Amino acid sequence: MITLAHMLCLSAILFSIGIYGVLARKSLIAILMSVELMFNAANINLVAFNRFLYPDSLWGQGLVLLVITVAAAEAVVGLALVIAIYRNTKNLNADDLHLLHD
Amino acid sequence: MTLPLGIFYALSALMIGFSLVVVTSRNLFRGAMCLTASMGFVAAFFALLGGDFLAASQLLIYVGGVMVLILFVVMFVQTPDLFRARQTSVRWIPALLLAGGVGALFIRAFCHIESPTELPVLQPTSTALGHLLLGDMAVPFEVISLVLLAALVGALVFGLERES
Amino acid sequence: MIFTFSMISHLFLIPILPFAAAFLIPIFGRWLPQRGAWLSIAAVMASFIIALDLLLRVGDGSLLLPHAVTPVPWFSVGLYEFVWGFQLDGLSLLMGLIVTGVSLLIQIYSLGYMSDAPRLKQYFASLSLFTSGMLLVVFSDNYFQLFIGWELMGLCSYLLIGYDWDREAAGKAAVKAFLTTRIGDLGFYAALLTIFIILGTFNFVQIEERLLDGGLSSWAITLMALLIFGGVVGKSAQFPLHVWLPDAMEGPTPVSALIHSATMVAAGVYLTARSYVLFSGSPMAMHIVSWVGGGTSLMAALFGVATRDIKRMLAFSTISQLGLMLLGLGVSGYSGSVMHMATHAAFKALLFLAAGSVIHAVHTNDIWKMGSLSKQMAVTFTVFLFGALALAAIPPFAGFFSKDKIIENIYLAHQPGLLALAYSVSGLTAFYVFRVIGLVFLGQPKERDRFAHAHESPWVMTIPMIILAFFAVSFGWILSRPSIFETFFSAPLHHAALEAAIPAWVMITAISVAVGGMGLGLFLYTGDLTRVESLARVFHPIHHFLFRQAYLDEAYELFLLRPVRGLAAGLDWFDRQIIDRIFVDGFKTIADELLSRRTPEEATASGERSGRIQNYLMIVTFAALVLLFWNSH
Repeated sequence: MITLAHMLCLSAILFSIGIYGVLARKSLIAILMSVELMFNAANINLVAFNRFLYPDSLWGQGLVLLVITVAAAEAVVGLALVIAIYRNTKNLNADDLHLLHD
Repeated sequence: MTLPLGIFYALSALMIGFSLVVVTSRNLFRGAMCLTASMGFVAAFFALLGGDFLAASQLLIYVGGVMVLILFVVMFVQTPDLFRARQTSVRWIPALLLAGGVGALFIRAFCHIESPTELPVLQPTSTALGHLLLGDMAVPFEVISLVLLAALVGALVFGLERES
Repeated sequence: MIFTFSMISHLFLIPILPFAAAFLIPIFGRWLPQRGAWLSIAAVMASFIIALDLLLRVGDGSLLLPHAVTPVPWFSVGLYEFVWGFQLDGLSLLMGLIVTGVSLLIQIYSLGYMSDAPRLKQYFASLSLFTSGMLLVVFSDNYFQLFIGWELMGLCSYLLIGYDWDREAAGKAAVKAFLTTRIGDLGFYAALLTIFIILGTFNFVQIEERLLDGGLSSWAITLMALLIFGGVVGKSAQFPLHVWLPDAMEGPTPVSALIHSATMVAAGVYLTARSYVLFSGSPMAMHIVSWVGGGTSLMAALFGVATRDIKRMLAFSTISQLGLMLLGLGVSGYSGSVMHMATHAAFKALLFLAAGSVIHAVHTNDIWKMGSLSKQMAVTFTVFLFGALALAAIPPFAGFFSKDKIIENIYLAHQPGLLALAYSVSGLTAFYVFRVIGLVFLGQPKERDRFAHAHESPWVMTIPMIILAFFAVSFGWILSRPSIFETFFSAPLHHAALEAAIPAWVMITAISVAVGGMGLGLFLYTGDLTRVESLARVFHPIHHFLFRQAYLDEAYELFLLRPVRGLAAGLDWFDRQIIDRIFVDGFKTIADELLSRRTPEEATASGERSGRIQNYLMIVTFAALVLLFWNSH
């Protein structure tokens, strides 16, 4: 039967796939998508813990709802930024955006 | 191998597969579609774990909202010649190592975790979630609406065309 | 006015009404008449009326002093609960009446004086806020709340001195005032901590009880008293923290009248009087108080003799009179000092307002450019004269009664040195104020144009002055009436009735010294000035020394400010060159070196190797991995 360990390992794999995407991808949108992957992995974690360790409570699921909301808000702002950058520089390559350096 | 476990492995294999496409594909549009599929599978897992309301909201919000948004932006910025350009930068080796390291660490920590054998029967969660959100979780619930407001305003500020 | 319901519960309204006005004026001032000035005046008038009503009820016996209002809980830390508490006793009622009354008169005066000034909203809001701060100080029943009002006043003083912030001198004076009193406030803050540690409470009544229970080492009491005195020295401009008050004259004259003569600087004296039980327990602290007060008093009087600015003369006079009050408190002369605080508020505010009237008319502060103004400004001259007579302590004017009481107290304490000091200060006081009268109002005009253009001030300015003049004349006599004296000036520790035999020569010497000073001042500085000129040549070095305020400002700059600025510059260098170079730039370079060699240069300019987010993210992930790995064992 499905145990907590199964779910957690699954979310760990998903999470590390997300990390790879964030670190290794060139396009800003690709990085954003990888971040969404990481969010989902965390959500799976939360629901799994809720179900297996605290089955009488629903706080895990409530928190997941809030996380989904926050992730959606973040995606919105991030994509608005992407559009703004694209308008200004026509280039979404992460390596070319180094204005943070003195 | 019982049926639930078999379904679980099948679903997880599919989800991992789609996610891998997301992080490796050269074609951003393909990546976005695969991400949508991956999120659908996440909803399936939510349902498996007893979060029926959660599964539905995941589909509605993520698939129906966020992914549509990402697809719009992808189509907005993609030009045909970019389909051919390499998407993965040369730092993929250290990235792979780091990601693998993190994953291995987590798996090592989690694979022997204790799990109860007797679990209560799954119940519909909508009513209980409603009571929770408007009761004990009322304050975060209200604050979240402020967060959404801030995100809306921020997106508008960034997204508006400036007349120059 | 007859009220059928108890108004004592409205004691807390007295500080709150001006406080509310201070916030309403900036918000709504645009639509209010006179930019919110009338709101400010209305608030302080309401407070004054409430205070008057309280006085009447004390008078007819329906209200017994001391009276405390039920405290409102605020917050608690551990076992101690902080409250908003208000109390009414003789001292606070007297000060409350004076503060609200003088504030009211000065705000009315300001309508005329500041009529063409910009930013009136800020002016009246700051005045209201200040008034509420002082009232909070006066009516609080615990040290913590008093400190809140204390700091509030310091803020408003800064805002009001620097009101004309276009002028660099005003801005610098405001900063100087704030920083100097801050140093004193450090002492007060330390006192708060010490009192709480030793006595366990901030409430005045509880502190008095615990002190009278005994069992405290004299070192502890001395420490607490001296730390409080630190705050007093700052706020009441005593040596060595007196340097801010002369410069504070850069502010508008009504501000000088309210804050730097009658109220805020008197807060230090009030605090000492309020802590009288504490101070009485430490003879050494009392000794220090009286000598610091006396020494400052003499020093300031000498400075006052040498100055040529009419407002500075009054500033030095204030420092000097405050020193006298502290001197009186130091020799256990509670009644004299408190009475002098009251009379001084009246006549000093009057003198400042009259000086403002003069400055308004001739557009200068320099007394050597004025002259013979009694002919052009009769009302101003008369009220200034009354104020001067009160300051010089000539009977039967107000200052005489209170200063004489202080001198009696010094005599009873058997302190010949301090007695001589007090007499000298009296003589000098009379001398310098009548010197100014001679130069400004009498004699020949020094500059014809100014004299010709001078005219009396409008009624909105003269009426408050006349009211204050009435008090300058009669306040001393009024306060000496036994029943009133009893109510306001009975010291917390009931010393045996000090009606003991005071030889007549004490008072006679005081009067003669004052009259002598007045005569000398008038003789030298009225009319033909040749006598002065020959004297000036003889005394020039001394005069110059006093004119430069004994070079104390320069000494502070050299020995205090320069080293601190140098230290700050050194630390800044250290921060930028060493810490930033090593820790911030260093890590960034390491990150870039480690990773950027693998970045493709295809579409990017060559040589750009830093600022890449993903590089930094990799470092972060690596660090997280290390930490997780390390902790997972």
